[in-house]
Amino acid sequence: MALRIFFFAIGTLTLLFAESGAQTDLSFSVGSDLFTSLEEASAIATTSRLNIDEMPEFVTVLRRQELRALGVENLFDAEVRDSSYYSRHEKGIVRPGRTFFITIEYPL
Amino acid sequence: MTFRFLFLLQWIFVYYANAYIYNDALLVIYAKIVPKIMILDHTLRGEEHLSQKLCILYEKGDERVARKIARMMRKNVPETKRHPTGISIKPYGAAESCDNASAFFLLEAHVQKIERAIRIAREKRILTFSYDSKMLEYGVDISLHTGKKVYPIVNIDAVKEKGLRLDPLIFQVAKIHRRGAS
Repeated sequence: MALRIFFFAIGTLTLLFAESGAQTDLSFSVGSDLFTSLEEASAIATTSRLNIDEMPEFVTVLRRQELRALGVENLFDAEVRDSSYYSRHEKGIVRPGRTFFITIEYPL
Repeated sequence: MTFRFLFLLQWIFVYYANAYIYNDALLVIYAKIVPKIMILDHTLRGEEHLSQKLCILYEKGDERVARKIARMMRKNVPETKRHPTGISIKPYGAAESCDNASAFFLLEAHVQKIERAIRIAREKRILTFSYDSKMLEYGVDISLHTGKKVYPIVNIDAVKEKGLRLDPLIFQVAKIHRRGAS
């Protein structure tokens, strides 16, 4: 009788641990699936421009001739003029305060 | 002038058809993430605790959007033999009739309808997701942040109030929202 109770208890415990193990396995597989989906979602958000407000600022390269034509003599001038430059020439999307200029043609 | 006209047209459409504007990319993102988080909800809900069913609630004019996201979600529900899963759609007015739902997905709606759905969810301990993260302020449990990275936002106060048991894996990737804080 005692032996039966012993085996019954062992069986019950095994079942319980198997159940909780199955749940852990399930969570693990769904969890790793979730991580993958979040990465895919970030890629979708980037390609569809959903997150454009949180993307790094634009970097625009202006060439010597363009800057000279605008009367720009140094980088400070270029930064000050950024939004007015685009609004006058209607080039690209401008979000004032987010556009930075780098010139690769030095000196001006 | 054209922009003004389009804006007016959109406003008239939204006002009379009770319809909202949805972003397709955002719908795809929600369809990928929400079913997985739903499976990671281990809350015991009486006899039906092993079934995990999502009910998408929509405004009258958004039925087409609801059907679309339901179709996409069905493709993304993880296959588990232990948890019978299901995705259904209901208008906000019939939120109570979402049989054995373990989760609600709230599409855009008037504030009063959202609050009513959240009240029902609170009574039945149903996990709530929303298309708009602003609904977290009304008491929705989980929404998504779609910034440089996409991650879930968990309204911890609402989750605690309902006594939901979410898998710790969710908290590894989620950010916490508290009432009055973003």
